Amino acid sequence: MKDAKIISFSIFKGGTGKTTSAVNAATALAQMGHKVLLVDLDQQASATRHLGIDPEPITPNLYDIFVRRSPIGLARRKTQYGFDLVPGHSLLAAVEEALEPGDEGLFKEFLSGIQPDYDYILVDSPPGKAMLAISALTAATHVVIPLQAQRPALDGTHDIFRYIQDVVWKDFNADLKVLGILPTMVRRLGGHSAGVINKARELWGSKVLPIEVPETVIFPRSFDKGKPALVFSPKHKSVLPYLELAKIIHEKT
Amino acid sequence: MKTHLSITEIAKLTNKERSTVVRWVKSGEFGDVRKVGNEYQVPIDSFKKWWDKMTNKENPKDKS
Repeated sequence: MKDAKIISFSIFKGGTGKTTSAVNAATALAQMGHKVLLVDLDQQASATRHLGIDPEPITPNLYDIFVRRSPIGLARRKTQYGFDLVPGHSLLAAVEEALEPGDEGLFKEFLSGIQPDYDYILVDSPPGKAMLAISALTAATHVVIPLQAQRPALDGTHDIFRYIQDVVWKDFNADLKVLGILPTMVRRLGGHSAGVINKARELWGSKVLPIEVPETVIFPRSFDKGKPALVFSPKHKSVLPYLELAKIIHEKT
Repeated sequence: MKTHLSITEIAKLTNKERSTVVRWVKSGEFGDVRKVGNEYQVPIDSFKKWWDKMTNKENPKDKS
């Protein structure tokens, strides 16, 4: 059996669509019949809440895994959307404080224990250039960079690209592949979205994926309902890009 | 992984002043702590137990 591909949704900037993208990509891949695990590495546990699960009472959680009190296999649970979840927890803030230089590979080591159980492991990375975010890039085979298609977002994309080239490839994970930049929160009318995406294509060419996730109320509303948008509103055309993303993940990894 | 957290780190995690955390340490909130030089250090497990106790006490609502 082949080991799972590990796909991290990463960018140091917050609020660009990491969680929405990871949750819906996991849902779409599961709907295609793949065995999928979503790992919520963020202390805010947004992906966990997005699935209607209260993260705080859950134990063992990622904290117990990092202090080696529990194997990661015991922290995963089934969701009603066809994939498994390792929930986030506020104590990841304590893990972030306790991780020291040299610990970047710990998360990869934990994942390796359950990698044979899945086709895809998706990681919702926390924002910020901090240890857990770097741990996600170290563990990943591929990275998806959600680009918020509004004006200042190119700097954030440029920043993570530079970091992958200058640090991750050199020191932590020479095999990491950039699966692509995913334009999110795209405004069809007005705004700067078209300009931002064109500029991104100029800068990064085919690394910018040929899909655009629109800005729509469906995403925050599905979050409030505790369901992936693909389940909350499966027919809505705004959610279809995530089916496309799942196909790209399947074909290109 | 560090085995202990400093006062500064706990202050950051709990969003409190250092002086508040020192008061907690002195009143035994975290159980046994170690002192390295002038600096208190709290075992990370003791911090976790304390954190769990606090979050259960506050019975936090879903913050989303």
